[in-house]
Amino acid sequence: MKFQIEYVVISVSTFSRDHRLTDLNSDLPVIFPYPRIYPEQYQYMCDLKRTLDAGGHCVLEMPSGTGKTVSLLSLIVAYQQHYPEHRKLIYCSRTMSEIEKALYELKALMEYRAKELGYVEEFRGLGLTSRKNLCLHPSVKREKRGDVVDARCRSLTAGFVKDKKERGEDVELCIYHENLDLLEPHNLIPPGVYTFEGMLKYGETNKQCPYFTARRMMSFCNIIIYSYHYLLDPKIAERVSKELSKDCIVVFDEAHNIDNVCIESLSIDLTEDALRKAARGCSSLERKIEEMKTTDAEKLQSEYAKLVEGLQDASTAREEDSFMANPVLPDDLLKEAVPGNIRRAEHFVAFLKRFVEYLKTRMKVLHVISETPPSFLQHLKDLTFIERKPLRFCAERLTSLMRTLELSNVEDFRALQEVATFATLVATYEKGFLLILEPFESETATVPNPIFHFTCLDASIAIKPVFDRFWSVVITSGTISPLEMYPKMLQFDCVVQESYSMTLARRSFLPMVVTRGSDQVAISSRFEIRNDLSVVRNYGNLMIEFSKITPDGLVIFFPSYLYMESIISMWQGMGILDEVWKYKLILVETPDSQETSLALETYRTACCNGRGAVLLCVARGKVSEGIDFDHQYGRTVICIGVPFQYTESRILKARLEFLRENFRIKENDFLSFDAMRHAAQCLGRVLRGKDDYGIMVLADKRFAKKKNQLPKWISQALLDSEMNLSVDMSVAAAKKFLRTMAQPFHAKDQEGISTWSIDDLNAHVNKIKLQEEEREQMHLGGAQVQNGNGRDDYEISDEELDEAMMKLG
Amino acid sequence: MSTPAMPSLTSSAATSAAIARARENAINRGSVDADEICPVCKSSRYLNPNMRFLVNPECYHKMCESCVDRIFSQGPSQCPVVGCDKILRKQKFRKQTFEDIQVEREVDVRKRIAKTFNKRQEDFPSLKEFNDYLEEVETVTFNLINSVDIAATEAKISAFEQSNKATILQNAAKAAQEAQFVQAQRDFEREQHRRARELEEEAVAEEKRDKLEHRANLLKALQADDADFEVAKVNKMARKKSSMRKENQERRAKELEAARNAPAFQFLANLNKPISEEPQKPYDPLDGYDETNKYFVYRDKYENPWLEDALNSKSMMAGGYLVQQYCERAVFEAFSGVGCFIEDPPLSDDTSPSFDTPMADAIAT
Ligand code: SF4
Ligand SMILES: [Zn+2]
Ligand SMILES: [Zn+2]
Repeated sequence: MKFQIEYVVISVSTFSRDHRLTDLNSDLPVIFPYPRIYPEQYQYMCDLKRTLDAGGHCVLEMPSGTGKTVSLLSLIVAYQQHYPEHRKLIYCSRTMSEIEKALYELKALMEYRAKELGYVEEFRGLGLTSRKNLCLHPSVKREKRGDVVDARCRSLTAGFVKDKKERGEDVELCIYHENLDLLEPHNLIPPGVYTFEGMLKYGETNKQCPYFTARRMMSFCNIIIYSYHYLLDPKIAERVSKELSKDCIVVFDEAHNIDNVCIESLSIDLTEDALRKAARGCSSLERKIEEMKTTDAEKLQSEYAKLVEGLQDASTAREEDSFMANPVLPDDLLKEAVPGNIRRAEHFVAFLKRFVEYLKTRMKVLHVISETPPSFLQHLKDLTFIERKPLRFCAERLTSLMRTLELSNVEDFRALQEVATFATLVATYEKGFLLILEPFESETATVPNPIFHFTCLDASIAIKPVFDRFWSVVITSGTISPLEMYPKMLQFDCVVQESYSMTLARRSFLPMVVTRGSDQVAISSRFEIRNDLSVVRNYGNLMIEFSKITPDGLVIFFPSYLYMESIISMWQGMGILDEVWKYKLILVETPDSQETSLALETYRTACCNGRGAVLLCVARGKVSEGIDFDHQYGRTVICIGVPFQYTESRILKARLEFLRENFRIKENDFLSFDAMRHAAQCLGRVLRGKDDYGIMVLADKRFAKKKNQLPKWISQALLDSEMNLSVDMSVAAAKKFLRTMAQPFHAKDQEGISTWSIDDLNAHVNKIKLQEEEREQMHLGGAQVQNGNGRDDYEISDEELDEAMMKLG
Repeated sequence: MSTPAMPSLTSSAATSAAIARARENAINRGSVDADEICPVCKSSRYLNPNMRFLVNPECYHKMCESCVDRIFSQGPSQCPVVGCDKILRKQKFRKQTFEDIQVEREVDVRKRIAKTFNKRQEDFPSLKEFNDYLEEVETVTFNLINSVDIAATEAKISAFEQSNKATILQNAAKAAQEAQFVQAQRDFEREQHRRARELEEEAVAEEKRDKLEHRANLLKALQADDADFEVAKVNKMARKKSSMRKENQERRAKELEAARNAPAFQFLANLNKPISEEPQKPYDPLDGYDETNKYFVYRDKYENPWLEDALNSKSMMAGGYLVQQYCERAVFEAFSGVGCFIEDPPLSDDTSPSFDTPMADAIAT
């Protein structure tokens, strides 16, 4: 279907960009690849356009299963094609499967557009993922681990390897990579949208590497789809995302966890083992330097000369085979020359060695230490005479050295690189980071196994470059409530902040809060009572009852693995599992991903063949994040307990303190927000579309007070009468709900209410227009003043007159 | 795991993995510092679990505490390690900080070097020169550590020490001051932190108290005859209280903020600034008195017939009489006092009325 989105007058004065990108007063023709559209999709697109026009950031919460991705893509593609700037879209998602899904949507959209328009547009859309998924080299691609694939690929493609080959040495190169150089650099792949599968196929037939094709073509794409890390992780972002221009539209989809991604990308954990490896890395660097001194001293000398001149080898740094990029550093520092005392290769290696040895001594301490970067640096200086400045250059200097030494098996130096990155980060940031040494793995452990955590507390640090660089950043997800939290945590201003409700022709999902068992005892996963027999039995009863009435799949989420294990073993003792066993298969998620995927497979089979199954999983585990339980795969989801984080963790405590002091976010507010976003995420798993239906049970007394922290679309459907149910009441409600769901439901019933045809849409637009006009009519009197042009500068308004009179008097 | 729930299995698997990791670490650690046996008396940690090792910075040979007691208690003695002829003293023995004895030694060398070579970037005209200096220091250090060219290096060090005595002292003072400042700042921040925390806790407690009180009041009000009225009253009071509380909190937060920028702290911040030294000027005996005049210029030659003789007289010239000087004095005297006005406030150069030079010139001729 094809329709127009009008320019909507933005009533609040948003921050205006000097560089207005587009002629704002034109309508934007949008081609939507389906004959019907949901009202919220239309709303979503309008708001999106508003954001793009204004040039700012936005936070949008769209109910899950309402076609968020397709609305996003069709609006932005329309935007790109309509306006002459052709702003590029960078679409970031979390997991490989989500990226793939988006690529398929895009492909379908472009095909539809071609059909609708009658010609194929010049358009390129590519996805990027790790080498492991895109490699074609017959032996490399068989490697199991991603980092091994990366390392082996580098040894086949690095610039110096090629040089060697040209010199006639016998080295192996990857033919897929070589072939790329024979093509025109801006046209490695013909226009079109390629899914990963398509990429691989194209690569195979043309014998060219899909990974490097995608990477090199990034600046020639209209749409890039890749994972968060390519923008947020400084180690990768530098390499991959540098050339993207400012007017790109950046979208973070499924962004409810974005703060954690940001934090993880800047945090480093060092173990004793890593330090040992780093020390070994130092020694082998030493050896390599000695070797090179005898064979090829010139190279070292030329590197040295370059460093003396202060030439940051900018040309090579951007090369795609660079081993490691710099963590975010202020630009001025990057332009500065490397300090004199680490200019010579041997000096630098000795410097690193000293640093590693120092870290080792820190590991010997047997009590917990937490300190700020400045105090760490002070102690470091007192003990080893390592100054802050050379430390900042560590990562940079190591990269340069490794390139000079032409090391191809970077695997051996991974630990050392980690240490160098750590050095650079700790010397760069004073605030927002904390160093925590935990000598024991748990409270009760007696054998020390120290871990030195360098943790980022401030999520805004990693994402700041993104907000600074790009004009429009869209943060969107199915569950991103409360919306105000994100701008606060990530420190940005947003133009539009919107949460959409779900329009439904019938009540297709039933959220309930169960606060007590049939015996009226309150149920809660609160630490003090979570192992009480009555609580455990009530939770067990809840499961039994719902496994009786739920058709097909039933998913149950627990706050943690620990609690899940203990409660399951108690259920076993009570015979509850045996009871459930009569109705359904029981499957459990474990931290092991292979086991879990096997369990999931079995679960799906059982759901499809009518046996039905119960899946027990964890609210913060893999299942809760990436896996959909649409239709028969999930008819009921039960959230047992509020999924709070483990608050005894020192890292979490430090972060809470940071949030409180710097962003004035109270500890409890944050914990509750974090728990509720995970709960909402779990609930959202079962409803993946408007024709889907499902029951959502929140089983904890404490949920009763947290209604307003749920996403708007869930909290709206949550009736007050269903906020405080006992198990038997909830079962009765569920039965009734399921009975209504069993009634035949035709697509026709939805029309005009929860889905719009083009006529409905036009009617809606006209209605809005009428309303607008009416409002204008009402304001006609004041229009003169508002209009600005209409008012004569010499004319004095009444108020001003009054004021003047007052003064005179 | 696709079988019906078997939780105990998974949990034990996780813990056993952890234990294995810890054990592996312990083993590795043992192998890295295989210092379980004293190289001198060969007693091992098995027999003496409290064994501690000490080193002496003379030769860095490691031995156990009891060996040190045994050998060096009677006074200085030779190192017991075969092939080492250093004479060691007991009080020089100390615990080893770093696992790697090379690094331990290196750090000692650096300690010494850092005392002498303490120039700062400010001491150099450009960054490049500073970097060159840093590299040179590093080379010197390396020579000492690896015993290369010891004699030449030592000579270099003492030469540097000689020629930079003043700067070295100054920079040491600066460094000390800086350290002091950093300490002060850290203490201050900690104190701030504590206070903020306290305030917050107080506020939370207060809120809780008020809430309880409000509830109690409410219950009481409900019992009263005119329940509606009473309830309204209680609610109003509570609202007032809460707004007051909010105000209080805000005020406190502001106070805290103000304290952070307090003058006392500013003063400390000033400490950090390097003592700005004015570059030394050449000695000025006249203390700034300016001799140049702006009313006239001297000419090389004045037409003075009556001085013609003097100008050519050899005896006068030999005696040191210069006609030029005579003329200059005459001109100077003629103009002295010009530009001083008694009623005017003290003279300042640019405001005083001045004669045009050409005119003065004319007079002088
Ligand atoms: S260049 Fe491409 S095909 Fe060749 S090894 Fe690397 S990733 Fe694989
Ligand atoms: Zn001994
Ligand atoms: Zn000795």
